[in-house]
Amino acid sequence: MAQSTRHSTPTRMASSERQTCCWQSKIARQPTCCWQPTIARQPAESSYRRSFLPSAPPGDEPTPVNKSKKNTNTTTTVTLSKRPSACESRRVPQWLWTPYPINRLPDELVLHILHCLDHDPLTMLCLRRVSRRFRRIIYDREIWSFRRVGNRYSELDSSSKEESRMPKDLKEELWRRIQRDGMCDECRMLRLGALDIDNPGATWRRSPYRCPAKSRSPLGLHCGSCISSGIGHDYVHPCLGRHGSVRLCEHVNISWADMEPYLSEWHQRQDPHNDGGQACLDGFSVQCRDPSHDFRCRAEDAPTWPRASLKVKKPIARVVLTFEWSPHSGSDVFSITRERQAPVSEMKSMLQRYRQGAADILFPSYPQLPLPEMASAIPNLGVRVRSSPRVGGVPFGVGGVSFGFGGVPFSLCILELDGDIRLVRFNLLTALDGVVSFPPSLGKCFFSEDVCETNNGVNK
Amino acid sequence: MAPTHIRVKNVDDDRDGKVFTITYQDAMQSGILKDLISDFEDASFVDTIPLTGNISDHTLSRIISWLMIHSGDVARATEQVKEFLGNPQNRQPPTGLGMDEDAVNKALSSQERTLVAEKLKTLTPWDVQFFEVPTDEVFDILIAANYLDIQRLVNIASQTVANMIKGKTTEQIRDLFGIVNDFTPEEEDELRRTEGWALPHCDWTSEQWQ
Repeated sequence: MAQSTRHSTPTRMASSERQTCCWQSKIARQPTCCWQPTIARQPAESSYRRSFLPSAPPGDEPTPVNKSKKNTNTTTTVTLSKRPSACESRRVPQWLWTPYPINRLPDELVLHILHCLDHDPLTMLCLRRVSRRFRRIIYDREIWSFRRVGNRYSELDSSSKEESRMPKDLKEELWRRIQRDGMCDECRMLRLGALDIDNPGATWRRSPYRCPAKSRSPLGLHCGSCISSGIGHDYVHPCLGRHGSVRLCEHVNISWADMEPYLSEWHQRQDPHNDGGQACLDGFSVQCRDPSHDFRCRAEDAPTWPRASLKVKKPIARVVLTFEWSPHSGSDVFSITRERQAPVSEMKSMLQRYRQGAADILFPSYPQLPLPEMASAIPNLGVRVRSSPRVGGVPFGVGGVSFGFGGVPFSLCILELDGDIRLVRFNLLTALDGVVSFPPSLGKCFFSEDVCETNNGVNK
Repeated sequence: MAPTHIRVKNVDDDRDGKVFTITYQDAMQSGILKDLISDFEDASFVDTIPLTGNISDHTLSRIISWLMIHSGDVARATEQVKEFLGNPQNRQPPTGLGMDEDAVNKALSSQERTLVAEKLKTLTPWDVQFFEVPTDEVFDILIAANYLDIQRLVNIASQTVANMIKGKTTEQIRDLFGIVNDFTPEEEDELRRTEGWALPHCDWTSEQWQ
């Protein structure tokens, strides 16, 4: 009905019809609002809201635009509300309505703005904490067909051939802030930790930093990621293992000055025919004995502190900085029912315990795990499963849980040791809220006696 | 024959906007107007091009004023660049010396295109003054320019917004645009822990790193 009152003459109607049909191809150009359901949450009172939106009414219908219209042929004055109708159009449901101007911009325009900040990584660092939407846009590798914004770290590297376009003061400030961090971007992405499942205490060991022997590069520690991917990559910020300091836990920071005397001595004295020069590195041992790291399962067990040491790696003579931590003094088990099934929830809660304490720093969780549940998991985590009583001192079965990045994001591997070794894989993606079934070939499943009580958390 | 003047008006579901008259050359700067004019060219009964991009009349009038000022920019910039390249010293590819004429022309035209594009990117004092309006209005212009497919205006408006953001902290950016912090307290803690090093003033650093 509104149509007929507006376009009262036949000519108008024709024009309107024509407009509809030849606009089919252009309809996609409508400025779209990128509403995020999370943003639709009722926001707190802010200065913006107070000054620009005194009367945003709640309810199902958005504020209607003043409809006082006259004949369209004459030049009319249409009173519009302060905010244009993009947000108030009736096509947009009320629950998606959001009063903040930046939310009206589609992602492509926000991206356009971010491109203009290409050479200001400091602002980009702040921007990614502003809201979920900014964070999503900045971190989305899909929409960054060329990753340039916020990754100007390589300009800080003196060995980089790239000409720096960053002002000097900006450069100094960025470097100052980066020095607080312990890892390069690649370190964060690639988790190089591995759990030693043969050790009953389940010791985590990670050796990401290496000091190459007699190479052309100056004495320093390089992380495996830096070496494999090359410093010249745009998205790698200078590894602080190479330049400054690394973190053991939230309390202890190992500076380059702490390690340098040992490393330079080893560098000068190394003898490949002997012990590789391990003797001069033995003096270096760092432990954090903060009570928060005490996760021993029984009071009589020795406490397990996070520790760092320098070790010579053979056959290639190089030194690695090794982090070790045994978060629990015993093995962890999960129960398997008579139907040979294990509840996934129980396994998840067990994995959760490995995220406590220094684990987050030594073995940070993968930030972009495909499933939120897996944020609590550690890649390459091995869990020992004793599936039968010991027969002649040999455990019947050893299990491991591993988290892969390609194809199968979460799988359970069972190594069967009763004569031959078999590998069974389960995809927990299909069983996230259910159970994991174990094949009959695994044998009879029991609890092992010499395990810590996983369900009770920390027993001191 | 192309008309000399185009009439444009806002048409929406429930309102008809003001009718604006702009010159053909001005309108040609907008990709969507260009398309629409070619669509409507033969339809003599259409006297006004309707726009349904949810653009307010005020924004449309601002954009039209921008189009009027910048209508001759491309021709002007091309002329200046051609004059600049007319001096052999300014040419990057050496003329003659083992290059045939086609290759030299090709290299020169590519250099010319680059220089023109660079010239058009720069913010003139007029543009700076043009955007001395409330933030809200800048976004209106940006969205409308994107809808109307005026790439230069989109670039300039984006640059203006970027200049507003530049050098600000997280909190200042939130205040500037009225963005609500939609991270949960747990996520905030996590961010502080993992990305605290990026904050300009970070207690976390002084406590744990110094």
